[in-house]
Amino acid sequence: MRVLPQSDEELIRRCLKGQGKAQRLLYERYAAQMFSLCRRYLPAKEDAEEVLSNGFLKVFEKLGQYRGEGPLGAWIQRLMVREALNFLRYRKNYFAEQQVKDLSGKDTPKRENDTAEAEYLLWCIAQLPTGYRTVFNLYALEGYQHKEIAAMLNISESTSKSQLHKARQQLQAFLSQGGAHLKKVIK
Amino acid sequence: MKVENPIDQYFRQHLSKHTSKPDPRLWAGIAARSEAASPRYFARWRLAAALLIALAMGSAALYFWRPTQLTPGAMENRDEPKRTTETTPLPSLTANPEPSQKDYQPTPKTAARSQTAVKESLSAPVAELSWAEEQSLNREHDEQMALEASELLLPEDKYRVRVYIPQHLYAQSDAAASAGTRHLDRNLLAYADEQWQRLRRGEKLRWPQLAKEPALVIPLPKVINAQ
Repeated sequence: MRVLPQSDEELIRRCLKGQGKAQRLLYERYAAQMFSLCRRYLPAKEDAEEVLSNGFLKVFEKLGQYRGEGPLGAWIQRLMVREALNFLRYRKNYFAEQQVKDLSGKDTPKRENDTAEAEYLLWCIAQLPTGYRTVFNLYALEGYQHKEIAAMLNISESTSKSQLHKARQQLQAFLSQGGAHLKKVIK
Repeated sequence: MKVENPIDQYFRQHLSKHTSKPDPRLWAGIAARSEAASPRYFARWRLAAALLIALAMGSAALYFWRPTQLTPGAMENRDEPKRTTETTPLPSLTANPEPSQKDYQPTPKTAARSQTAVKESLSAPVAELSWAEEQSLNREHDEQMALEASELLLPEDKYRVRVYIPQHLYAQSDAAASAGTRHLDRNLLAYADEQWQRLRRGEKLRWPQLAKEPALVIPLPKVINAQ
């Protein structure tokens, strides 16, 4: 049986009543997007899935606090980012690894279409040290400012800027190895 | 004006809309955890806990209520003397005076002791015990007999029969009544006996048609008990 699409408001209302089906619908609507986000912060699939599970539990728990200011996806995204940062914080390897991985491995994904390109970019991000990766994700992809990032990660603003700069350098190096057409885009 | 870094732009362009599906089994875990964390789940547990507590309290109440109901009865039973006519035979009296060889089979506890020591230890206390128990049995028997006799004795304040007797016998009868029943007239005793039998059968007493007065009050139980 095909489930009729429902608006976010309707889903929220039903979720707040504790209806399991509505929760499942909400999960199915945003799971793929959020899983991609989680993978940007946590390259290991198991870690990303754990963060996704915990994040959705938080979403169901705090759904009553959603005021409708902005899209629901953005609100869930903020919760997921916070959950991913908590996960990294508890693992205490936040800035532990500083070495950039060698990209000469044979498991480099191919870049044939947009999806593959996105997967390749995810792979590039995954090669960054955790600190670089986190700051780059927060600044370049989530749109946070250095001040906010410094507060969220409990680091100084200058450290945040430094980490971002190094992350960009590494990514540029990865991309330059990846293909000539990318260099055109970057220039 | 903020100039956006091309690398940032490129990554955002490709990754902002990018999606990747998680493991389909992931939802089962989330649903289970969500169910366990839901207020409805806690309400269910609260209800179960409340029922359990109520059940426990009910059981406790029943436990403490029943003895109070049973105690008076139990105490009565405990205080009530044994009225059984059958005397439980004591083991010392019914036991075979000459124990068989089986009785002297050594147990693991007494295996270390010699056979003669076992015989001595068994025979001596048995004789003493039987005497003591015999005394106790006699005492019990006497008490029981006394109890039965007391049950047979009738209360003297009841079953008094008013008998009309001739005047010339009045003094003698009065004296006899005060002195006991030894000198009462035989007819009077027969009459009293007959009245007693009637009482035992549940029939009405029959008044003697002797005279109008004076009357002699005969304590029937006293008469019967004297016989």
